Amino acid sequence: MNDQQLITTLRQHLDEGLADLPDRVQDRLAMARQKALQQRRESRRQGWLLGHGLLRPALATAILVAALGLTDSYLQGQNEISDMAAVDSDLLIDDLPPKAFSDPGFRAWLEESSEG
Amino acid sequence: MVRRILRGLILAILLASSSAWSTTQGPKVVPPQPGWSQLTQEQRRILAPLADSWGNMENYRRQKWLDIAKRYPRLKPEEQARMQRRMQEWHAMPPEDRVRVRQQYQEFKRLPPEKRDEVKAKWETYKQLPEEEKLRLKQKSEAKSGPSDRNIRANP
Repeated sequence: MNDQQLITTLRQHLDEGLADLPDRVQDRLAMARQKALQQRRESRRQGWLLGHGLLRPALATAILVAALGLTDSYLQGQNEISDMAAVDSDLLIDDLPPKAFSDPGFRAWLEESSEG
Repeated sequence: MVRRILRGLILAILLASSSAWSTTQGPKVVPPQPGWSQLTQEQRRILAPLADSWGNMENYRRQKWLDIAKRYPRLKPEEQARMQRRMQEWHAMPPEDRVRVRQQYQEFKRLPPEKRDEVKAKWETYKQLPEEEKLRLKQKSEAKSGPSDRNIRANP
């Protein structure tokens, strides 16, 4: 008799004997089976989260802080761009052109004429 | 647990600082902006002087110009024309010069109206000066402030 035949014979004997077991024993066996299945499900779930490192505290903290930093940089950038647009659009329509402010000669001349 | 959180904080600081070092100009976090062909017809009409430069423009500058284009319809026709005439020149100016011009313009706007008019009148007179006189003034200004004056922190 090989292993497979032995298992089949044993299972048949156990199944036949099952009907003769008292209800209390059958209930306890059913409960034990449920408990074992539940434990297996939980260990699988933990394995997926912790085993893959998704919820490790260090990494979770790093992601959170990096996300907050990113959000802050984003909002700061948006304000900066909006301020820049406001100044630029005023500058581009002013009577005085932008080059008046970048011309070093004009600056020197203003100083000279205010000194004189 | 505390050590793990500390490790996380160190990691986060490293991540954040590496992104800060990766760029020295303009805001760091800017969403991607549309290409020229993705702009509306109206936006393309307003920003037409920038058509050739749009492809090589950084996202933050594209976003800034799109913001300016939103304000454009509220301007008077002569202001609109003036803005379009100056767009290219302003865009082509080196970033550090733009920073300096913005700062000086904001100072100029804080002057009392009569002082502002005085500066405007002086600009008109300055434009009429002979070129050699302008060159003398330019050299005088550069000698006084030194080349370091141009090295204001690079920024948009």
